[in-house]
Amino acid sequence: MALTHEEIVRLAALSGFTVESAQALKGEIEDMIAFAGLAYIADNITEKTDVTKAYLRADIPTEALSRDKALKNAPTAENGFFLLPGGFKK
Amino acid sequence: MSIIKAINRGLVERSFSAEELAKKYINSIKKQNMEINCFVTVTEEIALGRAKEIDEKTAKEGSLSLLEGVPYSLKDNISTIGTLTTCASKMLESYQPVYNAYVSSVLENAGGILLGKNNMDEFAMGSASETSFFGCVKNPLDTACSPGGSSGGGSAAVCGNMAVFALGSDTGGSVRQPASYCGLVGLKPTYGAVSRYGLVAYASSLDQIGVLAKNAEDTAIVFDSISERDLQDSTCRGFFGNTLERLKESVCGIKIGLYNPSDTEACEALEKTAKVFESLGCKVEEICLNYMNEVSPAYYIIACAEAASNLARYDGVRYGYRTKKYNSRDEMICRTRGEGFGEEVKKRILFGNYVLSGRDNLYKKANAVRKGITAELESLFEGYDVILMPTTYGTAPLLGAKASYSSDRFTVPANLAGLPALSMPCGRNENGMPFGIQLMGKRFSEGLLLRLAYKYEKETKEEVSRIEL
Repeated sequence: MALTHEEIVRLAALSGFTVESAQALKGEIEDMIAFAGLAYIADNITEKTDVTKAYLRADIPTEALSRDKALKNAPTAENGFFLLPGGFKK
Repeated sequence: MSIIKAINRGLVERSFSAEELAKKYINSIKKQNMEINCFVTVTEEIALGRAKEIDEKTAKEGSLSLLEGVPYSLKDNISTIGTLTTCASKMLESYQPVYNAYVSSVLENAGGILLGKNNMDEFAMGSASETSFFGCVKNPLDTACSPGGSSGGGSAAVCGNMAVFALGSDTGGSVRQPASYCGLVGLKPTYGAVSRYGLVAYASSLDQIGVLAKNAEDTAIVFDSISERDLQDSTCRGFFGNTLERLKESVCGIKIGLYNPSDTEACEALEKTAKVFESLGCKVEEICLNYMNEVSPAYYIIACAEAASNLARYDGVRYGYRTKKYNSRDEMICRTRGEGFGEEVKKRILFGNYVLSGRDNLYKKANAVRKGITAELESLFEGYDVILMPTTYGTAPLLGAKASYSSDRFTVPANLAGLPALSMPCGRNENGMPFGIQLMGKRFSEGLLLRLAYKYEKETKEEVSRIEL
Protein backbone atom coordinates (compact mmCIF):
# COMPACT_ATOMS: atom_id res chain seq x y z
CA MET A 1 0.00 0.00 0.00
CA ALA A 2 1.18 3.51 -0.75
CA LEU A 3 1.51 6.04 2.05
CA THR A 4 0.21 9.53 1.28
CA HIS A 5 2.28 12.63 1.99
CA GLU A 6 -0.08 13.49 4.87
CA GLU A 7 0.54 10.08 6.42
CA ILE A 8 4.30 10.53 6.13
CA VAL A 9 4.03 13.94 7.80
CA ARG A 10 1.99 12.42 10.62
CA LEU A 11 4.38 9.47 11.11
CA ALA A 12 7.36 11.85 11.15
CA ALA A 13 5.67 13.95 13.85
CA LEU A 14 4.78 10.87 15.92
CA SER A 15 8.34 9.56 15.60
CA GLY A 16 10.17 12.80 16.30
CA PHE A 17 11.82 12.87 12.85
CA THR A 18 11.94 15.49 10.16
CA VAL A 19 9.55 14.93 7.26
CA GLU A 20 12.53 14.59 4.92
CA SER A 21 14.03 11.70 6.89
CA ALA A 22 10.65 9.92 7.02
CA GLN A 23 10.06 10.54 3.32
CA ALA A 24 13.44 8.97 2.49
CA LEU A 25 12.26 5.70 4.06
CA LYS A 26 8.77 5.70 2.52
CA GLY A 27 9.37 2.70 0.24
CA GLU A 28 10.82 0.56 3.00
CA ILE A 29 7.99 1.39 5.41
CA GLU A 30 5.49 0.42 2.71
CA ASP A 31 7.30 -2.91 2.32
CA MET A 32 7.04 -3.49 6.07
CA ILE A 33 3.34 -2.64 6.06
CA ALA A 34 2.76 -5.09 3.21
CA PHE A 35 4.67 -7.81 5.09
CA ALA A 36 2.79 -7.07 8.30
CA GLY A 37 -0.46 -7.63 6.42
CA LEU A 38 0.37 -11.35 6.41
CA ALA A 39 -0.54 -11.48 10.09
CA TYR A 40 -4.21 -12.30 10.48
CA ILE A 41 -6.70 -12.77 13.28
CA ALA A 42 -6.61 -16.38 14.29
CA ASP A 43 -10.00 -17.81 15.23
CA ASN A 44 -10.87 -20.03 18.18
CA ILE A 45 -7.75 -19.39 20.20
CA THR A 46 -7.85 -20.96 23.64
CA GLU A 47 -5.59 -18.70 25.61
CA LYS A 48 -4.13 -20.37 28.70
CA THR A 49 -1.45 -17.90 29.63
CA ASP A 50 -0.34 -14.45 28.68
CA VAL A 51 3.40 -13.87 28.80
CA THR A 52 2.93 -10.19 29.45
CA LYS A 53 0.98 -10.86 32.64
CA ALA A 54 3.18 -13.54 34.15
CA TYR A 55 5.29 -13.13 37.27
CA LEU A 56 4.56 -9.51 38.08
CA ARG A 57 5.70 -8.34 41.47
CA ALA A 58 4.24 -5.53 43.51
CA ASP A 59 5.13 -2.08 42.19
CA ILE A 60 7.35 -0.88 45.01
CA PRO A 61 9.22 2.40 44.56
CA THR A 62 12.97 2.08 44.73
CA GLU A 63 15.70 4.61 45.31
CA ALA A 64 16.01 7.01 42.38
CA LEU A 65 19.25 8.13 40.76
CA SER A 66 20.95 11.02 42.51
CA ARG A 67 20.83 14.39 40.75
CA ASP A 68 24.55 14.15 39.91
CA LYS A 69 24.15 10.72 38.36
CA ALA A 70 21.05 11.73 36.42
CA LEU A 71 22.89 14.71 34.95
CA LYS A 72 26.17 12.90 34.28
CA ASN A 73 25.40 12.08 30.64
CA ALA A 74 23.35 15.19 29.83
CA PRO A 75 24.58 17.02 26.72
CA THR A 76 24.08 20.32 28.59
CA ALA A 77 23.20 21.03 32.23
CA GLU A 78 23.16 24.11 34.42
CA ASN A 79 22.64 24.65 38.15
CA GLY A 80 21.59 21.03 38.64
CA PHE A 81 19.06 21.00 35.80
CA PHE A 82 18.97 19.72 32.22
CA LEU A 83 19.53 22.69 29.91
CA LEU A 84 17.26 22.96 26.88
CA PRO A 85 16.63 25.50 24.15
CA GLY A 86 13.69 27.69 25.14
CA GLY A 87 10.15 26.51 24.40
CA PHE A 88 8.75 30.03 24.10
CA LYS A 89 9.81 32.83 21.84
CA LYS A 90 10.85 36.05 23.55
CA MET B 1 34.64 -30.73 28.00
CA SER B 2 33.87 -27.52 29.80
CA ILE B 3 36.32 -24.72 29.03
CA ILE B 4 35.26 -22.93 32.22
CA LYS B 5 36.02 -26.00 34.32
CA ALA B 6 39.37 -26.46 32.55
CA ILE B 7 40.26 -22.83 33.30
CA ASN B 8 39.21 -23.27 36.93
CA ARG B 9 41.42 -26.32 37.28
CA GLY B 10 44.34 -24.57 35.58
CA LEU B 11 44.06 -21.54 37.86
CA VAL B 12 43.73 -23.57 41.07
CA GLU B 13 46.64 -25.85 40.12
CA ARG B 14 48.63 -22.73 39.13
CA SER B 15 49.26 -24.09 35.59
CA PHE B 16 48.65 -20.51 34.48
CA SER B 17 47.59 -17.32 36.19
CA ALA B 18 44.41 -15.33 35.65
CA GLU B 19 46.58 -12.48 34.40
CA GLU B 20 48.29 -14.72 31.82
CA LEU B 21 44.92 -15.98 30.68
CA ALA B 22 43.44 -12.49 30.42
CA LYS B 23 46.51 -11.32 28.46
CA LYS B 24 46.14 -14.27 26.10
CA TYR B 25 42.54 -13.32 25.31
CA ILE B 26 43.35 -9.60 25.05
CA ASN B 27 46.16 -10.40 22.61
CA SER B 28 43.72 -12.52 20.63
CA ILE B 29 41.37 -9.52 20.48
CA LYS B 30 44.19 -7.17 19.44
CA LYS B 31 45.24 -9.57 16.72
CA GLN B 32 41.80 -10.17 15.24
CA ASN B 33 39.54 -7.25 16.08
CA MET B 34 40.79 -4.96 13.31
CA GLU B 35 39.31 -7.41 10.83
CA ILE B 36 36.49 -9.14 12.72
CA ASN B 37 35.32 -5.90 14.43
CA CYS B 38 33.50 -7.78 17.17
CA PHE B 39 34.49 -5.44 20.03
CA VAL B 40 33.40 -1.81 20.28
CA THR B 41 35.27 -1.32 23.57
CA VAL B 42 38.11 -3.39 25.05
CA THR B 43 38.45 -3.01 28.82
CA GLU B 44 42.09 -4.10 29.01
CA GLU B 45 43.05 -2.17 32.13
CA ILE B 46 40.00 -3.26 34.10
CA ALA B 47 40.47 -6.86 32.97
CA LEU B 48 44.11 -7.05 33.98
CA GLY B 49 43.37 -5.37 37.31
CA ARG B 50 40.64 -7.91 38.05
CA ALA B 51 42.87 -10.77 36.95
CA LYS B 52 45.57 -9.70 39.42
CA GLU B 53 42.98 -9.68 42.20
CA ILE B 54 41.96 -13.22 41.27
CA ASP B 55 45.59 -14.36 41.32
CA GLU B 56 46.07 -12.86 44.78
CA LYS B 57 42.94 -14.64 45.97
CA THR B 58 44.12 -17.95 44.51
CA ALA B 59 47.46 -17.60 46.27
CA LYS B 60 45.73 -16.85 49.56
CA GLU B 61 42.79 -19.26 49.48
CA GLY B 62 43.83 -21.99 47.05
CA SER B 63 40.34 -22.37 45.61
CA LEU B 64 38.13 -20.45 43.24
CA SER B 65 34.48 -20.54 42.25
CA LEU B 66 33.82 -21.57 38.66
CA LEU B 67 33.59 -18.15 37.02
CA GLU B 68 36.51 -16.55 38.87
CA GLY B 69 39.20 -15.58 36.38
CA VAL B 70 37.10 -16.52 33.34
CA PRO B 71 37.34 -13.94 30.51
CA TYR B 72 34.01 -12.98 28.96
CA SER B 73 32.36 -10.19 27.01
CA LEU B 74 29.00 -8.40 27.01
CA LYS B 75 26.82 -7.16 24.19
CA ASP B 76 27.02 -3.39 24.03
CA ASN B 77 23.39 -2.94 25.05
CA ILE B 78 24.07 -4.35 28.54
CA SER B 79 24.85 -1.50 30.93
CA THR B 80 28.28 -1.38 32.53
CA ILE B 81 28.94 1.37 35.03
CA GLY B 82 31.62 3.76 33.81
CA THR B 83 32.24 1.76 30.63
CA LEU B 84 30.79 2.83 27.30
CA THR B 85 27.46 1.21 26.44
CA THR B 86 26.75 2.38 22.92
CA CYS B 87 24.13 -0.04 21.54
CA ALA B 88 26.32 0.34 18.42
CA SER B 89 24.61 3.66 17.77
CA LYS B 90 25.80 7.20 17.17
CA MET B 91 22.99 8.14 19.56
CA LEU B 92 24.87 6.56 22.50
CA GLU B 93 28.40 6.81 21.12
CA SER B 94 29.76 8.37 24.30
CA TYR B 95 27.21 7.13 26.85
CA GLN B 96 28.62 5.76 30.11
CA PRO B 97 25.91 4.25 32.32
CA VAL B 98 25.73 5.31 35.94
CA TYR B 99 24.58 1.86 37.03
CA ASN B 100 25.31 -1.75 36.15
CA ALA B 101 22.87 -4.14 34.53
CA TYR B 102 21.92 -6.94 36.92
CA VAL B 103 23.87 -9.48 34.87
CA SER B 104 26.93 -7.20 34.75
CA SER B 105 26.96 -7.02 38.55
CA VAL B 106 26.40 -10.76 38.93
CA LEU B 107 29.28 -11.69 36.64
CA GLU B 108 31.55 -9.09 38.21
CA ASN B 109 30.74 -10.36 41.69
CA ALA B 110 31.28 -13.94 40.52
CA GLY B 111 34.85 -12.99 39.61
CA GLY B 112 34.53 -13.05 35.82
CA ILE B 113 36.97 -10.93 33.82
CA LEU B 114 35.15 -8.52 31.52
CA LEU B 115 37.23 -8.13 28.36
CA GLY B 116 34.99 -5.62 26.64
CA LYS B 117 31.74 -4.78 24.94
CA ASN B 118 30.66 -6.51 21.76
CA ASN B 119 29.58 -4.91 18.52
CA MET B 120 26.00 -5.58 17.44
CA ASP B 121 23.23 -4.39 15.18
CA GLU B 122 22.23 -0.86 16.19
CA PHE B 123 19.84 -1.13 19.15
CA ALA B 124 19.68 -4.89 18.38
CA MET B 125 17.72 -4.20 15.19
CA GLY B 126 19.02 -6.51 12.51
CA SER B 127 20.07 -10.07 11.87
CA ALA B 128 23.55 -9.75 10.35
CA SER B 129 25.39 -7.28 12.62
CA GLU B 130 25.60 -4.93 9.65
CA THR B 131 23.57 -2.00 10.98
CA SER B 132 26.17 -0.99 13.60
CA PHE B 133 27.39 2.62 13.61
CA PHE B 134 30.87 1.12 14.14
CA GLY B 135 30.82 -1.02 11.00
CA CYS B 136 29.83 -4.59 10.32
CA VAL B 137 31.10 -7.66 12.17
CA LYS B 138 32.71 -10.53 10.25
CA ASN B 139 32.43 -14.24 10.91
CA PRO B 140 35.77 -15.69 12.12
CA LEU B 141 34.97 -18.97 10.33
CA ASP B 142 34.77 -17.16 6.99
CA THR B 143 35.29 -13.42 6.94
CA ALA B 144 33.19 -13.05 3.80
CA CYS B 145 30.20 -14.19 5.85
CA SER B 146 28.06 -12.61 8.53
CA PRO B 147 28.34 -13.88 12.11
CA GLY B 148 24.58 -13.34 12.42
CA GLY B 149 22.85 -10.78 14.56
CA SER B 150 22.03 -8.89 16.42
CA SER B 151 24.47 -10.44 18.95
CA GLY B 152 27.01 -11.04 16.16
CA GLY B 153 29.88 -9.40 18.05
CA GLY B 154 29.47 -11.83 20.94
CA SER B 155 29.21 -14.88 18.71
CA ALA B 156 32.27 -13.80 16.70
CA ALA B 157 34.22 -13.15 19.91
CA VAL B 158 33.52 -16.60 21.36
CA CYS B 159 33.97 -18.34 18.02
CA GLY B 160 37.30 -16.57 17.42
CA ASN B 161 38.65 -17.36 20.92
CA MET B 162 38.40 -13.74 22.00
CA ALA B 163 36.14 -14.60 24.96
CA VAL B 164 35.21 -17.81 26.75
CA PHE B 165 31.55 -16.83 26.72
CA ALA B 166 29.45 -13.81 25.92
CA LEU B 167 26.08 -12.51 26.96
CA GLY B 168 23.76 -11.24 24.26
CA SER B 169 20.12 -10.28 24.04
CA ASP B 170 17.50 -12.24 22.13
CA THR B 171 14.35 -10.41 21.00
CA GLY B 172 13.55 -12.53 17.94
CA GLY B 173 16.50 -14.93 17.74
CA SER B 174 19.45 -12.59 18.26
CA VAL B 175 21.37 -15.07 20.41
CA ARG B 176 20.37 -18.35 18.73
CA GLN B 177 20.85 -17.26 15.10
CA PRO B 178 24.43 -15.94 15.58
CA ALA B 179 25.21 -19.06 17.64
CA SER B 180 24.03 -21.13 14.69
CA TYR B 181 26.15 -19.18 12.17
CA CYS B 182 29.28 -19.40 14.34
CA GLY B 183 28.99 -23.03 15.48
CA LEU B 184 28.16 -22.22 19.10
CA VAL B 185 25.58 -23.05 21.71
CA GLY B 186 23.16 -20.15 22.19
CA LEU B 187 20.54 -20.13 24.92
CA LYS B 188 17.52 -17.83 25.06
CA PRO B 189 16.08 -18.40 28.52
CA THR B 190 12.40 -18.33 29.47
CA TYR B 191 11.00 -14.79 29.59
CA GLY B 192 11.45 -13.88 33.25
CA ALA B 193 14.28 -16.29 34.02
CA VAL B 194 17.02 -13.66 33.72
CA SER B 195 16.71 -10.06 34.85
CA ARG B 196 16.57 -7.45 32.09
CA TYR B 197 17.50 -4.67 34.51
CA GLY B 198 20.07 -2.52 32.73
CA LEU B 199 19.50 -4.09 29.33
CA VAL B 200 18.77 -1.22 26.96
CA ALA B 201 15.20 -1.95 25.88
CA TYR B 202 14.24 -2.80 22.30
CA ALA B 203 10.94 -4.66 22.69
CA SER B 204 10.30 -5.20 26.37
CA SER B 205 7.80 -8.07 26.11
CA LEU B 206 10.20 -10.05 23.90
CA ASP B 207 13.72 -9.11 25.06
CA GLN B 208 15.67 -11.65 27.08
CA ILE B 209 19.36 -11.85 27.94
CA GLY B 210 20.98 -15.06 26.73
CA VAL B 211 24.27 -16.96 26.73
CA LEU B 212 26.71 -17.72 23.91
CA ALA B 213 29.33 -20.40 24.63
CA LYS B 214 31.20 -23.23 22.97
CA ASN B 215 29.41 -26.09 24.68
CA ALA B 216 26.35 -26.95 26.75
CA GLU B 217 28.22 -27.29 30.03
CA ASP B 218 29.69 -23.78 29.88
CA THR B 219 26.28 -22.45 28.89
CA ALA B 220 24.77 -24.15 31.94
CA ILE B 221 27.40 -22.70 34.28
CA VAL B 222 26.77 -19.17 33.03
CA PHE B 223 22.99 -19.54 32.94
CA ASP B 224 22.93 -20.83 36.52
CA SER B 225 24.92 -17.82 37.68
CA ILE B 226 22.76 -15.13 36.01
CA SER B 227 19.28 -16.58 36.52
CA GLU B 228 18.40 -15.58 40.05
CA ARG B 229 15.35 -13.53 40.93
CA ASP B 230 15.89 -9.78 40.70
CA LEU B 231 13.33 -7.37 42.12
CA GLN B 232 14.65 -4.58 39.92
CA ASP B 233 12.95 -6.26 36.94
CA SER B 234 9.25 -6.68 37.62
CA THR B 235 9.00 -9.53 35.10
CA CYS B 236 11.92 -11.51 36.56
CA ARG B 237 10.99 -14.57 38.54
CA GLY B 238 14.41 -16.19 38.27
CA PHE B 239 15.14 -19.84 37.66
CA PHE B 240 14.73 -22.33 40.47
CA GLY B 241 17.17 -25.19 40.29
CA ASN B 242 20.61 -25.97 39.03
CA THR B 243 20.99 -27.01 35.41
CA LEU B 244 24.67 -27.96 35.79
CA GLU B 245 24.05 -30.57 38.48
CA ARG B 246 21.50 -32.40 36.33
CA LEU B 247 23.38 -32.15 33.04
CA LYS B 248 24.53 -35.75 33.07
CA GLU B 249 21.17 -37.33 33.85
CA SER B 250 19.65 -39.65 31.27
CA VAL B 251 17.43 -38.33 28.49
CA CYS B 252 15.94 -41.76 27.85
CA GLY B 253 12.17 -41.54 27.35
CA ILE B 254 12.13 -37.82 26.51
CA LYS B 255 9.47 -37.11 23.89
CA ILE B 256 10.64 -34.88 21.05
CA GLY B 257 8.36 -33.28 18.46
CA LEU B 258 10.29 -32.81 15.21
CA TYR B 259 9.39 -29.84 13.04
CA ASN B 260 11.39 -30.25 9.85
CA PRO B 261 10.16 -28.09 6.96
CA SER B 262 11.61 -29.28 3.66
CA ASP B 263 12.68 -25.82 2.47
CA THR B 264 15.77 -25.46 4.69
CA GLU B 265 19.39 -26.40 4.04
CA ALA B 266 19.50 -27.90 7.53
CA CYS B 267 16.85 -30.51 6.67
CA GLU B 268 19.31 -33.41 6.45
CA ALA B 269 21.30 -32.27 9.48
CA LEU B 270 18.08 -32.10 11.44
CA GLU B 271 17.14 -35.67 10.48
CA LYS B 272 20.57 -36.88 11.57
CA THR B 273 20.21 -35.04 14.87
CA ALA B 274 16.81 -36.64 15.44
CA LYS B 275 18.41 -40.06 14.90
CA VAL B 276 21.10 -39.27 17.48
CA PHE B 277 18.41 -38.43 20.02
CA GLU B 278 16.59 -41.65 19.16
CA SER B 279 19.81 -43.56 19.79
CA LEU B 280 19.91 -41.92 23.23
CA GLY B 281 16.47 -43.33 24.02
CA CYS B 282 14.34 -40.32 23.11
CA LYS B 283 11.07 -40.78 21.26
CA VAL B 284 10.88 -38.60 18.14
CA GLU B 285 7.71 -37.86 16.20
CA GLU B 286 7.09 -35.39 13.39
CA ILE B 287 4.79 -32.49 14.22
CA CYS B 288 3.16 -29.56 12.38
CA LEU B 289 3.15 -25.92 13.44
CA ASN B 290 0.23 -24.00 11.97
CA TYR B 291 1.28 -20.40 12.59
CA MET B 292 4.73 -20.39 11.02
CA ASN B 293 3.72 -18.11 8.14
CA GLU B 294 2.24 -15.57 10.52
CA VAL B 295 4.83 -15.44 13.30
CA SER B 296 7.36 -13.18 11.55
CA PRO B 297 4.82 -10.49 10.57
CA ALA B 298 3.38 -10.63 14.10
CA TYR B 299 6.85 -10.35 15.57
CA TYR B 300 7.72 -7.27 13.51
CA ILE B 301 4.45 -5.57 14.41
CA ILE B 302 4.88 -6.12 18.16
CA ALA B 303 8.64 -5.50 18.26
CA CYS B 304 8.47 -2.28 16.23
CA ALA B 305 5.50 -0.94 18.20
CA GLU B 306 7.38 -1.49 21.45
CA ALA B 307 10.59 -0.09 19.94
CA ALA B 308 8.81 3.10 18.85
CA SER B 309 7.79 3.60 22.45
CA ASN B 310 11.10 2.54 24.04
CA LEU B 311 13.26 4.63 21.74
CA ALA B 312 11.18 7.79 22.20
CA ARG B 313 13.45 8.58 25.17
CA TYR B 314 16.38 9.47 22.89
CA ASP B 315 15.69 13.15 22.44
CA GLY B 316 19.09 14.71 23.14
CA VAL B 317 17.95 16.09 26.49
CA ARG B 318 19.06 13.73 29.25
CA TYR B 319 21.81 11.67 27.65
CA GLY B 320 23.22 10.67 24.32
CA TYR B 321 23.86 12.55 21.12
CA ARG B 322 22.56 16.07 20.51
CA THR B 323 22.67 17.82 17.15
CA LYS B 324 24.84 20.93 16.88
CA LYS B 325 22.49 22.96 14.68
CA TYR B 326 19.04 23.96 15.88
CA ASN B 327 16.90 27.00 16.44
CA SER B 328 14.19 25.57 18.65
CA ARG B 329 13.58 22.69 21.03
CA ASP B 330 11.42 20.78 18.52
CA GLU B 331 14.01 21.18 15.80
CA MET B 332 16.71 20.03 18.22
CA ILE B 333 14.79 16.83 18.98
CA CYS B 334 13.99 16.03 15.32
CA ARG B 335 17.52 16.69 14.10
CA THR B 336 19.05 14.81 17.04
CA ARG B 337 16.96 11.72 16.30
CA GLY B 338 17.45 12.01 12.55
CA GLU B 339 21.23 12.29 12.87
CA GLY B 340 21.64 9.95 15.87
CA PHE B 341 19.74 6.90 14.61
CA GLY B 342 20.69 4.78 11.61
CA GLU B 343 18.30 3.96 8.78
CA GLU B 344 17.18 0.56 10.12
CA VAL B 345 16.27 2.03 13.50
CA LYS B 346 14.42 4.96 11.95
CA LYS B 347 12.50 2.61 9.67
CA ARG B 348 11.38 0.44 12.59
CA ILE B 349 10.37 3.45 14.70
CA LEU B 350 8.31 4.88 11.83
CA PHE B 351 6.66 1.51 11.20
CA GLY B 352 6.09 1.08 14.94
CA ASN B 353 4.29 4.41 15.10
CA TYR B 354 2.22 3.40 12.07
CA VAL B 355 1.18 0.32 14.08
CA LEU B 356 0.53 2.30 17.26
CA SER B 357 -1.62 4.80 15.42
CA GLY B 358 -4.11 1.95 15.05
CA ARG B 359 -3.90 1.52 11.29
CA ASP B 360 -5.23 -1.74 9.83
CA ASN B 361 -5.72 -3.21 13.33
CA LEU B 362 -2.19 -4.56 12.95
CA TYR B 363 -1.38 -4.64 16.66
CA LYS B 364 -4.59 -6.50 17.45
CA LYS B 365 -3.93 -9.00 14.68
CA ALA B 366 -0.35 -9.55 15.82
CA ASN B 367 -1.45 -10.20 19.38
CA ALA B 368 -4.00 -12.69 18.11
CA VAL B 369 -1.22 -14.54 16.29
CA ARG B 370 0.92 -14.33 19.43
CA LYS B 371 -1.83 -15.92 21.47
CA GLY B 372 -2.37 -18.48 18.72
CA ILE B 373 1.23 -19.68 18.56
CA THR B 374 1.45 -19.64 22.37
CA ALA B 375 -1.68 -21.78 22.68
CA GLU B 376 -0.49 -24.14 19.95
CA LEU B 377 2.91 -24.62 21.59
CA GLU B 378 1.34 -25.17 25.02
CA SER B 379 -0.94 -27.76 23.53
CA LEU B 380 2.01 -29.49 21.86
CA PHE B 381 3.92 -29.51 25.14
CA GLU B 382 1.15 -31.59 26.67
CA GLY B 383 2.36 -34.43 24.46
CA TYR B 384 6.03 -33.60 23.96
CA ASP B 385 8.83 -32.48 26.24
CA VAL B 386 10.71 -30.48 23.60
CA ILE B 387 10.39 -29.41 19.99
CA LEU B 388 13.33 -29.94 17.64
CA MET B 389 13.48 -27.58 14.66
CA PRO B 390 15.94 -25.61 12.54
CA THR B 391 17.44 -22.41 13.95
CA THR B 392 17.79 -20.83 10.51
CA TYR B 393 17.24 -21.66 6.86
CA GLY B 394 20.90 -22.45 6.32
CA THR B 395 24.46 -21.51 7.16
CA ALA B 396 25.84 -17.97 7.57
CA PRO B 397 24.97 -15.75 4.59
CA LEU B 398 27.50 -13.57 2.80
CA LEU B 399 27.93 -10.09 4.21
CA GLY B 400 25.71 -7.66 2.35
CA ALA B 401 23.13 -10.31 1.39
CA LYS B 402 19.64 -8.94 1.93
CA ALA B 403 17.76 -11.00 4.51
CA SER B 404 14.04 -11.51 4.06
CA TYR B 405 11.70 -10.45 6.86
CA SER B 406 10.65 -14.07 7.34
CA SER B 407 14.21 -15.38 7.80
CA ASP B 408 13.69 -15.47 11.56
CA ARG B 409 10.47 -17.49 11.47
CA PHE B 410 12.04 -20.42 13.34
CA THR B 411 13.36 -18.32 16.22
CA VAL B 412 10.56 -15.82 16.87
CA PRO B 413 7.96 -18.33 18.21
CA ALA B 414 10.01 -18.80 21.41
CA ASN B 415 10.06 -15.03 21.96
CA LEU B 416 6.39 -14.55 21.20
CA ALA B 417 5.47 -17.35 23.62
CA GLY B 418 8.14 -16.51 26.23
CA LEU B 419 9.62 -20.01 26.03
CA PRO B 420 13.24 -21.14 26.42
CA ALA B 421 15.07 -22.23 23.29
CA LEU B 422 18.61 -23.32 22.57
CA SER B 423 20.57 -23.49 19.33
CA MET B 424 23.40 -25.98 19.05
CA PRO B 425 25.71 -26.91 16.19
CA CYS B 426 24.88 -30.05 14.22
CA GLY B 427 27.39 -30.60 11.45
CA ARG B 428 28.71 -28.43 8.65
CA ASN B 429 28.07 -27.89 4.97
CA GLU B 430 30.58 -28.62 2.18
CA ASN B 431 32.31 -25.27 2.87
CA GLY B 432 32.81 -26.09 6.52
CA MET B 433 30.20 -23.65 7.77
CA PRO B 434 28.11 -24.88 10.70
CA PHE B 435 24.41 -25.68 10.78
CA GLY B 436 22.44 -24.95 13.92
CA ILE B 437 19.42 -26.78 15.20
CA GLN B 438 17.07 -25.54 17.84
CA LEU B 439 15.48 -27.13 20.89
CA MET B 440 12.47 -25.35 22.35
CA GLY B 441 10.85 -26.37 25.62
CA LYS B 442 8.22 -25.56 28.19
CA ARG B 443 8.68 -22.56 30.44
CA PHE B 444 11.68 -23.00 32.73
CA SER B 445 12.80 -26.20 31.01
CA GLU B 446 16.31 -24.84 30.40
CA GLY B 447 17.73 -27.79 32.34
CA LEU B 448 16.26 -30.29 29.91
CA LEU B 449 17.36 -28.31 26.83
CA LEU B 450 20.92 -28.09 28.14
CA ARG B 451 20.91 -31.78 29.10
CA LEU B 452 19.84 -32.80 25.59
CA ALA B 453 22.51 -30.55 24.07
CA TYR B 454 25.13 -31.98 26.43
CA LYS B 455 24.18 -35.57 25.59
CA TYR B 456 24.20 -34.76 21.87
CA GLU B 457 27.70 -33.27 22.16
CA LYS B 458 28.97 -36.33 24.02
CA GLU B 459 27.38 -38.72 21.55
CA THR B 460 28.64 -36.96 18.42
CA LYS B 461 31.89 -35.46 19.79
CA GLU B 462 30.55 -32.26 18.22
CA GLU B 463 32.21 -30.11 20.85
CA VAL B 464 35.76 -31.50 20.64
CA SER B 465 36.84 -29.49 17.62
CA ARG B 466 35.63 -26.29 19.24
CA ILE B 467 37.80 -26.32 22.33
CA GLU B 468 41.03 -24.35 22.30
CA LEU B 469 42.68 -23.05 25.42
